[in-house]
This record gives sequence, C-alpha cells and structure tokens, in this order.
Amino acid sequence: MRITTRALVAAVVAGSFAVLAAGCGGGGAGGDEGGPIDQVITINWGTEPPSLDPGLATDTTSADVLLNIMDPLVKLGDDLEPVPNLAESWDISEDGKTVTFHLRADGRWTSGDPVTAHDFEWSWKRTISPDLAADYAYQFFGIAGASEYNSCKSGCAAMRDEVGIRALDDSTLQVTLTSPQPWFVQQAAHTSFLAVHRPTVEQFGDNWTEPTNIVTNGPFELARWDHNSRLDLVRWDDWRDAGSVKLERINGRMISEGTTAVQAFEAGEIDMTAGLPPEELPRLKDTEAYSQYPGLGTYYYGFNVEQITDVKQRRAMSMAIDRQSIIDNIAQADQLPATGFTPEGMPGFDTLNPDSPWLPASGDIDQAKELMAEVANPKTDVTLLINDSPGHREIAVAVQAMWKQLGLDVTIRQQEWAQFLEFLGPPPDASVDVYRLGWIGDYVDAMNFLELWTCKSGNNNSNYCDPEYDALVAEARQTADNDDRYELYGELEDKLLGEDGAVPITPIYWYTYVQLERPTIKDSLNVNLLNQTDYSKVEEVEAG
Amino acid sequence: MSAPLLEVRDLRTHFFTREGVVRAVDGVSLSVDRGRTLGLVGESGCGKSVTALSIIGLIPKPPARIVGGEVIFDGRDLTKLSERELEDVRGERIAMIFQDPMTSLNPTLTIETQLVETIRRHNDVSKREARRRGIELLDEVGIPNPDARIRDYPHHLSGGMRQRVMIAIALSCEPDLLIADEPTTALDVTVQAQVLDLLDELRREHDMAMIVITHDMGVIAEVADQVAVMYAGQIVEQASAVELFARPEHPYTEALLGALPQLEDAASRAGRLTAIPGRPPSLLDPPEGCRFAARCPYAGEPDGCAEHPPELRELRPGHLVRSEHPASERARSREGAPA
Amino acid sequence: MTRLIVRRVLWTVPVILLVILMTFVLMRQIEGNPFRHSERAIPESIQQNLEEKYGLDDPWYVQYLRYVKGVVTLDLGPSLVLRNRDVNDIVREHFPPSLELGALAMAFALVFGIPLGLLAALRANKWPDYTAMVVANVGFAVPSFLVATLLIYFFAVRWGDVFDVPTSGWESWQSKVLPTIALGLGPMAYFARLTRGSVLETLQQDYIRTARAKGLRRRRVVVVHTLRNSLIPVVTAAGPILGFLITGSFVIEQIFAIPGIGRYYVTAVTARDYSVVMGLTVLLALIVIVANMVVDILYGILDPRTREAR
Repeated sequence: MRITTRALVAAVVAGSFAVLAAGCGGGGAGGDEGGPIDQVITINWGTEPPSLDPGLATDTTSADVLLNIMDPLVKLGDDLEPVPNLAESWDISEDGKTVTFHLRADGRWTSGDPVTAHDFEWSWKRTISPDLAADYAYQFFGIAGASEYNSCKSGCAAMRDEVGIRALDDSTLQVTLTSPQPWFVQQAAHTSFLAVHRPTVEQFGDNWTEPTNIVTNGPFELARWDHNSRLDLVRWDDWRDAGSVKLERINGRMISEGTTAVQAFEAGEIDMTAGLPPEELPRLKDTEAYSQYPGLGTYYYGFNVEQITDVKQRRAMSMAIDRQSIIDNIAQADQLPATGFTPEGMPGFDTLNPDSPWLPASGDIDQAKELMAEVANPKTDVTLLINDSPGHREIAVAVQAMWKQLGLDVTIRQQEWAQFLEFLGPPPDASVDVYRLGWIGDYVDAMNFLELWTCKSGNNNSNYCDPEYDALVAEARQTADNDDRYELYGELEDKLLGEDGAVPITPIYWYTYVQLERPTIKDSLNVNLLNQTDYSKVEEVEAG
Repeated sequence: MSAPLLEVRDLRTHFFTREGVVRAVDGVSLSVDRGRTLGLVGESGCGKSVTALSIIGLIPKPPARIVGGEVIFDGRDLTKLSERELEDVRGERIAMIFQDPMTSLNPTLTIETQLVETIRRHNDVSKREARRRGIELLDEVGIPNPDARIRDYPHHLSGGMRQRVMIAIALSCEPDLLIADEPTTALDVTVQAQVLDLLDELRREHDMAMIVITHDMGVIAEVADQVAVMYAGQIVEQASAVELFARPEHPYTEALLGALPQLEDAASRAGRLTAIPGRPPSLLDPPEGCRFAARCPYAGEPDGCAEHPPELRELRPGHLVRSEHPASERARSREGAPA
Repeated sequence: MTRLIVRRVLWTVPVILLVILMTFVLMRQIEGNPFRHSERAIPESIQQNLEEKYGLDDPWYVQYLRYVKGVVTLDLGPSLVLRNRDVNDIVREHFPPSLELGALAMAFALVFGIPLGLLAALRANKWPDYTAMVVANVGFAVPSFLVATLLIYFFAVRWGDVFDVPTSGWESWQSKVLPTIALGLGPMAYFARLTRGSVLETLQQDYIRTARAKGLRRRRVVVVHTLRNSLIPVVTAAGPILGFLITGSFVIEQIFAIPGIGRYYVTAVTARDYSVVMGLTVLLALIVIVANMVVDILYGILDPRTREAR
C-alpha cells in the first residue's frame, strides 16, 4: 500500500516532467535570436480588434490592422504630410471647399473587382448613414449635408443624395466641404475613410468581416482570425504594388497582459510588442530591443473652472507640478514635459506653441506658493478624479504631494472607466474639481486639439467657455493658408496657457510609444506619431 | 486433552500517550480450548476489548504497542507475525464481531459486497460461487429471504439482522476461533437471547472456539464454558463457568455476582441494586499493590496486599485467582483452620 | 434518481428568470454609456442612432421581455461593443476554451490533490504528512496570478530550452500545461487538505476495524472502504469549485492570453455591453446549476443512504 500511493504520486509527477521536457531543446524558439530570416514575423496586436469594419472601428488595434489590409486614398509621410496612395493626385478648389481625388486605375479587391470612386462614395455614405450608427460618423461632418443625413428621421433617401460626396466617374471622387478645411486630405488617411466592398457587405451584413467572408484591397490579406487569440496577415501578391512588400506573413498574437507579452518576447515567441508595463521599463530600456517613438498625444489634468474659480489658483497649481520628475520616476518612457496643449510634432508647432510660463518643466514651487498667497478665497479641499488604468494613481499621488505644499488638501478619487466617463460628462459632475485625461490626435492638425475648448464641444470637460475663443476657432476653420492658420492656433494656445491664459487645463507631458522589437526588423519598423505601423515597409534583415 | 487452541501468556499492551503510558492490558493470561467458549467478563474500561484486539493485532499502532507476553495460536506466536501474515490469519482462522452492528458494517456497500469480499479474500472461488455461499450463510444465521436481502444495504436491516449478518461474515471462512466483543450489548433484550442461542448453536455445528467478551454476567451464564474475570488490565479469576458461579473466590467476582439483580432478592425487587462502591484505578498510574485493594472489603489485612501485587495462583485444579483473600481462604481462617 | 433530475430541471426555470431580472436591474443601476469607450464624447445624434438601433430607448419592461425572449429562444442578440458579432457567436467560440481549462484544472486538482491527501492521512504525523501539508498550504496561500507569472518565467523563459512550453496561448497541448497548473493549484491544495481530514476521520470508523478484522488486504481497505466514504465531503466541495473554475478563470485567461469566456465577461461589464453581460450571466448561472446537480447525483452514487431520502 505504501508503495502504491507513493508510487502513484511519484509516477504522476515524474510523468509530467517527462511530458514537459518532451520537446527537449525546443525547435526554433530559443533565446533572443528568434527564427531564421524568412520574412515571417510574429507580432503582438495586444487585444482583439473590436471590429474590422472601417465604418465601425474606433480603436487603435482595429486601425492598426485595417491600415495594413486596406488601401487608403492617402497615407501620411514622415512629416505627416499627405502622400498619394490609392489617390494618385488631388485638386483643391480656389475657395478651399471642394476636394477632388483622382484614383489610380490599378486598385483591386481580393475578389478581383477594381476599386473605383463609386466604392468610396458608397462606403462613406454608409458610414454617415443613421442605420449603421457609426461612432465615427462625426469625422465626416465637415462634408456638406453629412450631419443632416446622419440625424435624419424621415426622407433619408433624399438627404443621402444631398451629401457632398460624388463619384464623377470610376476614378474621380469629388468632395464638397462645409468650409475650407486644409487638413481634410490628411484626415482622409484615417481608417473611417477607407472603402469597403459593397457586394460583400450587402451579402453578409454584420458578418462580412469574418475571415471567410472579408474582401480587402491592401498590401496584406487576412489569412486567419481566431477571435481573441490570433490574427494573421499574409502578403497579397495581387496587390498593385506587391513587389515592394518584403514581408511574406505576419502572425499576430493577442496578449493583453503586459508582463506576459514581455516574457513572450524574451522567450523568442514574438518579434515585437507594444504596451510595456511601466515597472519593467528601467530594465528594458537598456536592451537592444527597446524602441521609443514620439506620439501625438497630451496627458493632462483639467480644472473644473466652476469649482476652482480663481485663475491664480489654477496657475499656481499648474506651476507646482514637477513634470520632469513625474516623467523620470513614474512614466519612465522619456516623455516630453508639455509646454502647451498641442504636442510637438504637430505641423506648425513652432509657431503655435506658447512656451507657457505656467508649465515649468521641473515645477516652480516658490513662485507657485507666491501666486497661491494672492488668491482671495482659495478652494483648499480639492477632489482629483482619475480612472483605474495602471500608472494614473502613482502620478496622482505625486501631484497630491506637490499641491499639498500649496496648502491644498487633495482627495484622489479613482473610478472605473465607464463611471469615470459619466462623471466627466460634459458637463463634469459638481464634485469634480480636477480630472485626469489624455487626448490623442485623430488627424494631423492642431484644430483637432484646440477645438476641444469651444463652449459647446462635447469634449470640453472643464466648463470653460470664452466666446472670443470660439470666434477664433471659427475663423481658423475658414483659414486655408497654413501659416495664417498656425498663427491663429498660436493665439488660441495663448488664450489657454499664455501669459494671460485662463489655464482651464494643465498639460503634463506629451506621449511616447515604447516597444520591444527584434533586431532583425528594428530598422525598418516604424511607428508614426499616430501610433500606426505600416508593415508594407517592414523587412527582416540579418541583425547587424 | 489436547493443547489449548489459543494461549495468551502474560500479555501487556500499553498506550503511549502525551499524558503518559496507559497500561491497558498489564499481564493477562488465558487460554481457550478447541470447540469451547471462554467468557471474558469485567466492567467497562478494564481492558477486555483491548485484549481481544491485541490477540489479532488490531490495536492502533501508534499509540498502542504490545510490550510483552505471547499469544500462541495453534502453535504460532501471533505477536511475532508481520502485518501481512496477520492479515492471513484474520478472517480465516480467527474472526471477530463487534459490539455495535449499526456502525460496524460499511453503510455504502451492500451486504453482498461485504460478504463476498471476505469469502474471496480467503478462498479462491468465483463471484457467483461466493454469492451462493453468502446466501447460504445468511440462511444459516436465520435471515429470511436471503437471496433478496443480500442485495440490501445495512441501513435497510434492523439491529438484530445486522448482527446476524456480522456473524455470517465472521463464519464465512470457517474460522477456528470467533471473538465476539459485546455481541448483544447494543441489541434489544428480546433479540439478545436469540443471538446468543444462534452463536452457541453455530459454535457447536462448526466446532468453533469462542471468546465472548461482556460485562453482563447473565450472558456468561448462558454461553460460557470457561470464564475469565478481568479487572484493571489483569485477569483476577479464571475457572469453569459452573465452578465460578457456584464457588467464586475473588472479592471482585463475588461483588459482581452480588450486583446481579435477582428476582428472588427482596432488595432488588424493591428497586435497589447493589453497586460496588468506588471506581477502578487509573491505568495511567496503577497502584503498586493489588489493584482492587481500594474497593475491597478485605484489603488492608496484615498481609499488605495494597503494597505487594498478588500473583495469579491455582487455588484448585482449573481455578485460578489473583488475590490474597480468596473466599475459601477467608472461610477457613474464620473457621480457625490452621494458617 | 430521474425524479431528482426532473425536479432540478424544473427548478431551473424560476432561477434563471430571477437571474435575468437581477442582472438587468443591476446593469441598469451602474451608470455608464455602452457606446462611449474613449474620452471622445459621442455627438447627441449618433448616441440616439445607437440607442435606437439596439432598442435601448424602449421602456424598461420591453427591454426586459426582449431579454427573456432571447434566452428562451436561445438568441441572445448582438453585442453592443463588438459590432460585428453576436452573443451566440461569442459564447460558441469562447466558451469551449474556458470549459476545457476549467475541466483540466479540476482534473489536475483531483488527480494530484486526492492522492496527496490520502498519503498524508495514511502517514499522519510523519514526514510524508508534513511535506504534503506544506505543499498544500503553499498551493492554497499563493494567489493564482503569482503562480502563473512564476510558472511562465521559469518554465517558458528561463528554462525554455528544456521545457517546450510557450508563454501564452491555447493551441498546442503544451500551451495548456501551465495555465492548468496555475488555475488548479489552489483547488488541489484544498482537496488535499479535505481528503486528509476526511480519510483520518473515516479511519476511525468501526467498519474500517471490521474490514481489517476480516483480514482484507490493506489496499482494499484503503481504496474500497476508506477512500470511497471519505470522498463525500470532497464531492460536496467539488461542485461549486468546478463552477468557480469555469467562470472565474478571468485572471488566468488574461495572463496566458487564453481566448475564453472569462475575459469577455469582465471586459463586457466594464464596457457596459448589456447583451453580452446578460447572455454570459445566464450561461454561468446554468453552469453552476448543472455543477450542483452533478454533485447531487454523485452524492447519491457514493452514499446509498441519501438515495431514499428524497
């Protein structure tokens, strides 16, 4: 009996070890070197893309996939200028309100049909239509008749025809805008502006994006999609420029847990991963695989100006924040301390940046205290609202300590995301004095950032309302000339954060994107300011 | 007369606990002849069950241990056997039934399983053959409709039935010796007599020796040929049943017999039972002298039996007593016989 | 036995209705917009479009009845967040991995836990007992996510050359080893302790003494007489634990990137995806009900005394 039980336990344990060791030596997955140079790479998408329908995709993962399997009219160049892609050229009318795209003739769908301007007209109108109820329909509201069609209750068919999108012929797409929007062509690089294959969508309805049904037109095809598990892309050899694409296949995992992703990279299972956990950054920074890219986004704290009413208090609180320390000790990804709201990298940055006196990089606690002393009735009981993602709490605690030096008693209130959004409104809940938020650029023009602070903006969570500010924004919308417009942007930034600025918000830093990349692809892999990676430009080479 | 089937010589079983050593069986000697019944009687806690369990080696090994003595069964000393060898003896040569039939049968197995496993353990027969034999046994112990009842679970049967099943199981391999530990204590009075009769009958039919352990003198009177009286871990008197009842020698035995309710006795008819004053000594730290001294009406006589433990001596042929004051000697001294 | 099953099945109906009602009420109580996931506010007109499309602008009793109908007809509706997928699809694709993981973890826990507990009980207060109980206590105390991370670090990364196990995923059989251990270690420890206690208690029973007095071999006494009767408390505990393993493996699924239902469940609640939450809650309630029914059936098999008690 003793033998039997013991033997049973021992046998099972030994058996499991044997089983684990069965693949002794491990085939092709050892250490840091990765596999052979075969133009097949494995990446980590991070999460499951909620939708691969360009009309419905609102998140970065979906955008990441879509921009590689579809063919946009334009792409963004290194300096974020629009580069011809499927549209080989475009004209803008004198008054700036009509944009005409001229499409190439060799665009194709994987079903064999050619890609025409009619596809774009149908697809864009579909996204604007009330039936699809697309979140990003608002991206099109700069087009004449779009917002009316989107909110129509009856007579919608007629309204649809009124929308300013027309395919003049197979290769000419004419767009009529509500006002001159010089950034419109760049905006067309956004995923919302991709075309979909009409027969496929009509045949399969909601299921058209399933791997068995989907039809695309870009450099890569969807080879395999196991939901929440893998999404693999394979080079589409019939793409119009397939010869320039080096990668054969991209295998995509979906590892959302940062620590596991890093471990997968270190075990040689994947060749790239983004979203590194902050606590690992100090260690990973020294490795060869570490890669850092500037991002077009601002991490900021916003004030509820109806609660913290004295501008001097807001300025003092803004000055007290030691941004560099937060970057060095908490965020740890070499972010840039913010000197205005619009981040660096935005075209026109040099002109519009206010170099705000209220945003000293290392904080200026003495000045801040002086300013604070001048405040007649300061609000000393401050509630700071943050959400529950990693990292925010640590920054909040640091800022809490900094503001304590001003004699402020800060209570940190951490909410789960959906609740947090409810509190934000707008308008923000009366119990919120300060809130944390981040804003990432949708398209590459400072309007994208500055229009947030108009009185009626759905993203103005600060109760800030200045009719002069709104007037300036309206004027900028009508200003076609870039330099003139950048000047106006400069005035707007001044209104927010300049010498006499109202400081409704205090930006803390501008984002960077950090990744681990296998040395074989590191050189050719690039993440642009909008966190997009163009895999058609990536190539596996011998690690130098 | 052939040699006795079982001979226990000066058996000592001690329990090694945190409080100390409990000397539960401290020098027990007895013997059982083939085909005869030995009654082992004594009050609760005197060590009779431990003696029985020691014989077949079923004492809990920690904390108990046989520290001395021998158990000679059919020429072999059982205390020297390995566990595996003992497993061969148990059930086949020596069987044991226990006091409480409610808990002594496994409630989750059928009667059939519990019978058949015993039979097949000691005999190389098929399941069908074993089942047939089981039904036979159930019939023999007086269970009606044995072929139906064999499929029952223990909780389907009454107390008396269950004890009969236990007996059937015990007999299934034709053991030479059956040890019955308080076989009727947990049963109704009416059933008690039936079960005792059954035991006696079976013993005679199978030519089996029996040890019946009990605290009830009435049971002894029914079935025992030989009787051994146990007190505080030791045998204090051993004789044939007839002899014991007619001429008890040990003060304790006398007291036990005196404590029996008698219909003829006016005192017990009036509702008064004679109890023996006092309690048995703690076996953790037993007295040095005679263990009954504290309760004995005759202790303290100039022989000093409270200091020196008396030996078990043969007073008459076949009658052993462990006392300085056996009844016959007391009578003689009173009559002024020469000391 | 059939009566038991029939009665249980009939009871399921009011229980499920109650589950639907409670889930419905609770989800409406926590505020939150199912359509807003980023800081960007949704323009009013689009919000209205979305609410109309998914019927969220109907009165509450209409919505409730729609859910009940959906459950009855087994058409749980579209996901509010994953716009191209139905709840049915989600369940069909992602329930099997969770079920598999839960079953494997359960098997692991039983296969290792029960013998460990048995060994400890049979060698009580000697070194095998102490060792086994230390292992059990460690397995019990260390949280599963820590175990998971450690397992990945050592077996998949550090000693990756010796052991051919991946850090994550749920495709090859090797990828199922580490998650099974991580999830099953806690229950294994629990079963070990439970078995030990139960066996020790059973060994005190009179019928064990009888079995030994019959001369039965030790192995038979242990396996047939002791173990069977000792398993009753283990079985009682196993039912809810199985339910928990299938439904509560979110952390393990997250860490090992396993495409199971657990991840969907938590993200659905966070995102206020009402239809997914409703569908999954009903599903999980059913799992618990089934698990408990299985326990009751096993109970009847193990202990015949309970069979008639109905």
